[in-house]
Amino acid sequence: MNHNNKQSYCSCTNEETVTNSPSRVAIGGDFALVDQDGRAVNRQTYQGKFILIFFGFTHCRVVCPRALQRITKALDFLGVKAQRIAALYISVDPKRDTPRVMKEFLHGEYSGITGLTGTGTQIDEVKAKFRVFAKQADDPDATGGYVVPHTALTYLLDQRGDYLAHFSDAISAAELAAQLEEHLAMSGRQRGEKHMEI
Amino acid sequence: MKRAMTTLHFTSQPTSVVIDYAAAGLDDTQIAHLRHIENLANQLDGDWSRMGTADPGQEWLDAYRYQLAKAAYSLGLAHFHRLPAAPCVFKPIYESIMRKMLRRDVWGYWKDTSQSGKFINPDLQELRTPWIDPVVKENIMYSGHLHAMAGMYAVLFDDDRYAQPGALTFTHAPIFWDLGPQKFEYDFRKLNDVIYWQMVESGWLGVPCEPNCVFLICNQFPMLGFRFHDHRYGTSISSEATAAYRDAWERKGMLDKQGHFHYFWRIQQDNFFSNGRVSSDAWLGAVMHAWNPEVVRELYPQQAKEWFKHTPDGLVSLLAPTVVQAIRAAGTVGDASCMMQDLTYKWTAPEFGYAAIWASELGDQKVLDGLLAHADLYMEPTYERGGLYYPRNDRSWDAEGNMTYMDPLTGNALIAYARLNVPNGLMHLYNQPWEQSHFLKPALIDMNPRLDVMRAVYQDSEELLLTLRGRKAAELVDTTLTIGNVPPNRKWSLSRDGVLLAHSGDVARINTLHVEQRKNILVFKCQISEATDLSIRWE
Repeated sequence: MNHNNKQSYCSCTNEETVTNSPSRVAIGGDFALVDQDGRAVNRQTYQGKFILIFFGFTHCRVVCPRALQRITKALDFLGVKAQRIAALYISVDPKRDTPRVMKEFLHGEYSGITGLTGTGTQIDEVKAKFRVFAKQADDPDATGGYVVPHTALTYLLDQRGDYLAHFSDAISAAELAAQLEEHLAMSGRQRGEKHMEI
Repeated sequence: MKRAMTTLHFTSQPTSVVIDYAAAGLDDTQIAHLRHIENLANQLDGDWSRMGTADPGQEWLDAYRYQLAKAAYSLGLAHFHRLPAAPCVFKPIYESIMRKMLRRDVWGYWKDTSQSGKFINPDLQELRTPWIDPVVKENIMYSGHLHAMAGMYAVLFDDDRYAQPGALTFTHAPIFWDLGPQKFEYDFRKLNDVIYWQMVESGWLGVPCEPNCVFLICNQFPMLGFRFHDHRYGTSISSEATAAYRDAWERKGMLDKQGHFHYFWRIQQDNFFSNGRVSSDAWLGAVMHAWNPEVVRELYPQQAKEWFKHTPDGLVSLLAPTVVQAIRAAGTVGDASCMMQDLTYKWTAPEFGYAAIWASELGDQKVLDGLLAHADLYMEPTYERGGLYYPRNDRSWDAEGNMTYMDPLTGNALIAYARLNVPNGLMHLYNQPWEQSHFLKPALIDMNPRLDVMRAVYQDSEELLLTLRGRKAAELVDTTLTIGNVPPNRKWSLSRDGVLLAHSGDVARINTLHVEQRKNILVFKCQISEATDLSIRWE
């Protein structure tokens, strides 16, 4: 379900597959947010690590728990290699999702994932950069009387914070792990090739 | 829609094609439709003869883009189902249509339309700043077609020319600006990504046509484009797209209170516009059937019952929308064919043509035959340079109250589409486009001069069957036919109307026949006049 990797674009040349933005549309970019511990963060904060991003909201009943479980499992599958990845959960409901709320929500089951939030403007900006849909909708059955249906893609950025790929909600944890492992390995090969050139 | 979408189970495997339409080939009427499309495609660029519309701004439903797109789909369906072994009949015409689709005449309306308007956004306070690039954002009513057309071309002809960088370039160079051309460079794959990410950003409810307006129909064409992209490049976008689109509209609801599809959704106001015309069901149904057949099929009987006027002699036309509304208001149930017609109603849109392609895709032969018979009786079928079309007629009714309205989209392309399509035709092309093995089979890859190709099929018996006819009655045409993908080192024999003419051991001039074999290509030079069967069989 990765739209932009070597398997997906089977006719891509190797050169295309190793570029940082194989999508022909600009996706992602810098962001200015606050992490679950109240620290200001941006793309450079995670420089050197691959970044895995999922957008959601802590009151989400189905999509977010499923995605966060998937990401957690995938990171577990990767074992020590997961240390090369920063998994981020960016709120699309900043009114309710304060840093403290994010931290409490992720504590325990999803502790391998860091929550990010921000002002409404900051969230709108990062949503726009990642082409994320999220719109508040009334729901009397929901806590607070509303929900925020949102895009369920998981984005992968490279060590410089540039868009690398995205994965749909239909991907399994094992498939996600395999995809991540391939990207990690490809990065390693590139580093090796550069070393050889030197 | 919620009911239908939540209770139906979707099969992953479509029904296989059970009828071999290719063996039957094309009849004279179908040939004539293809000829007309060819005639239009061969007009000099900028010559839009027979395609002119009442609306001067390319904003209405019969605009050039729709005529070109439907003509291209007609070619695609005819090639795929009826003349699979004759790519040379279709490919050059398709390429001309693509070239015309990239002309500013076709997409230049966007500079005005991108400013939005009060009709499409009643809360608009001032017009937006316009932009020229017709596919970068919104305008899925153009970009969706270009996407589907480029993808269909690739899967039909095993040719990625529109995926090359800059292959879909829009050049804006008003003469008197004298600022040099502005170029907006795209290709099929880039366009695919542009549309995909707009879909994501919309929550999969779809990309607007005019600003603020998400037409359900216009978002069906990128579904075709995604599928063709998947087939060509091994991606899996269409499964994500169709699932996400279905989920999004299951929540939103696709149907109005009467069980008809909404026409468009206004984003800012979060309300629907239903046009109360057959197009809302027919246009959408004819295309959505490709990927969502169960829903379309379940709704069709009830939807179709309201729109069609049947006469005792089997003709079918449309009830005026005002009559349909009156029937609804009166709570009338059952067959509407006995209802009166409203001759004060003025037709303005390609409703008749939408209905025809809907019936053709759904395989409602009775309705399709009735519509075509009505068109032939009351809508002035016209033959010109071997082509058949129905000329534009702005008059809605004749003196006897028969529907006579004809728009250029219906007259040039939609009736052709309906005649050239087969039941479930678009669905099969969507689900089962040709695999690579098809492109390795012998086929007619060139002919000079062009002939009418009535049949072109490569059979399992390793026999290529061609039925050809000169384009001028009773006139012998010296023609050169090129057969590609000839199996190397295999003996072959050529028969004409059942009589053996030549074989691989005798590749020489024989009276009026000259045969030449170059590696995997066979070239025949012969004379053709009346319908002639040629059979090339490999041992």
